[in-house]
Amino acid sequence: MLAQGIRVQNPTTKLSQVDGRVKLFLTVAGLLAATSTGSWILPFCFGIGSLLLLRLVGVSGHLLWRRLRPILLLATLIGVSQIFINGQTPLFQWDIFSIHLIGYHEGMERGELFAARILGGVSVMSVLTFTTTVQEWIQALAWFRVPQVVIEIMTLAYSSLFTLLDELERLQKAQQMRLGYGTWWRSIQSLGAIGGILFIRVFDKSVRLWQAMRCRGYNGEISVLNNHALKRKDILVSGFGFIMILGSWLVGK
Amino acid sequence: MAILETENVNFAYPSGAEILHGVNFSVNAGECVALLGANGCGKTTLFQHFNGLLKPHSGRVLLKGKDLSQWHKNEVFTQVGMVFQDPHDQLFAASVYEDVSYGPKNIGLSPSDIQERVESALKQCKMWDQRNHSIHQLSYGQKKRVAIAGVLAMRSEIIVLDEPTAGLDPRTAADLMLTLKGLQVNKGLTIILSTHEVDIVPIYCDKVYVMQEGRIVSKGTPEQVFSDPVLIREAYLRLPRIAHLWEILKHKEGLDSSSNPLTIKEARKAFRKL
Repeated sequence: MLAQGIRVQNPTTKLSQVDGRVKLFLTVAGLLAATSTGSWILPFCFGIGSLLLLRLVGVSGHLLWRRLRPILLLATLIGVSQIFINGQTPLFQWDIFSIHLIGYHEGMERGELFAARILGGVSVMSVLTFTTTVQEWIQALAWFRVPQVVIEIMTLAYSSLFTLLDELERLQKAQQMRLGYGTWWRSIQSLGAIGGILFIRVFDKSVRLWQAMRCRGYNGEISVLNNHALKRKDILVSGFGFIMILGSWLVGK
Repeated sequence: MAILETENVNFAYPSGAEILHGVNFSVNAGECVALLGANGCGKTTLFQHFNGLLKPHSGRVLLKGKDLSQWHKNEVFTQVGMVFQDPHDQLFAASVYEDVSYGPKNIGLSPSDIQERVESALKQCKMWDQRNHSIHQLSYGQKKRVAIAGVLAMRSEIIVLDEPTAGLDPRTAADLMLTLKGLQVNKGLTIILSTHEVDIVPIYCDKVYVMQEGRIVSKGTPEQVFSDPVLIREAYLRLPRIAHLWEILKHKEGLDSSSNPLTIKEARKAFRKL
């Protein structure tokens, strides 16, 4: 199930054609703007704006809801919990059985801010994740001079992920067919065995990958050619997007 | 003259398992050579000696007449390209284009040269249209093609392929073999491959080696090697289907023929002569 979830492809939208570097730049700018103000209104507007943008370019509401549901639940829980934790000015008081709950005014404001920041941050990030492939991310990060070692780890982790998931699925199915998940105790044993086998297979695979890389002149550094020049359209999108974000921040701060 | 040869190569893994015993193997430039043998007979181990990934405990590996130990390692890797059996062991970059560019980048070529090589290699392997795809989006056959393109981009004169058709459907396997044959004929590449699919050997290969328990037990043209069915079967192999059918027709049905066809084309010719 986990493997299937990770494998789900993003829908192709108009934003998919925008260069990954532009989207990454605007996302970082958007995140900074959404989280750097003391008011809940700006991050909330960024959140709603991002979700509307995604709907506008064709991402289905169902998919958005499915992916954002846990985060929105978390934002609500954090926001609500703040009401009872922070502040001195009582807003309301509840007696539930023997529990005496006091909601504070300051806590509510803090909760609103936290929840709005989570909504804003996650929604802005969603624009990037829904419209950009991981390989575009990696290329964009490399272009922004993120340290080479980080790029290499990301590249190897991403490329190994699917091989490992395939391996995991195969092993799990093989165990299932031989009743490896019949009882809870048997399930724990089967999962433990998978962990051990995966570790050994990962080690074997890493040795073979190293050999294959040696055959292609590996010298301690993974270096590949990304040959995507920024187009005029991308520069325009990035300029327009940045002005919009800056303008909203100046108005909303 | 042999472009690559081994002389009395012996090898054992650190566990003590002796894998190769006095292996003599020779390939001429521009040939397509098949190495046949059962699982675990030492084919992959021998292949890893061809580009110095493994070093013989005794004996020599000669590339263009010069001992492999006298070559610079990176020079060997650019001369002898190796395609692993499982493409997942070889492909690591995020996209097809990036993966194929990895070897040329390591050689230190200029971006324009790298672009030219990547484009050429991907077009030869019919993967140019998928150049921006993620590796995990590709089918197994496409991954094999990308792995071959990665080696072609190194401009190796010799390409060693460990079971290139393993896990492929018949159509994809035939397409891949045709691509390899095209590279051999049009680009003059030397191709060494290991396989269990004996039917493809007489169609695509000029020379065959048979390996059994770390020893070369037979070598020659496909006609010579498959003319000894007993040896072939002792090596846990089989005759090509056509040759097997012909053998049955001769021994059980009393077919009177002096020819021993290995392919459908040869069988048609032999039938016409009857």
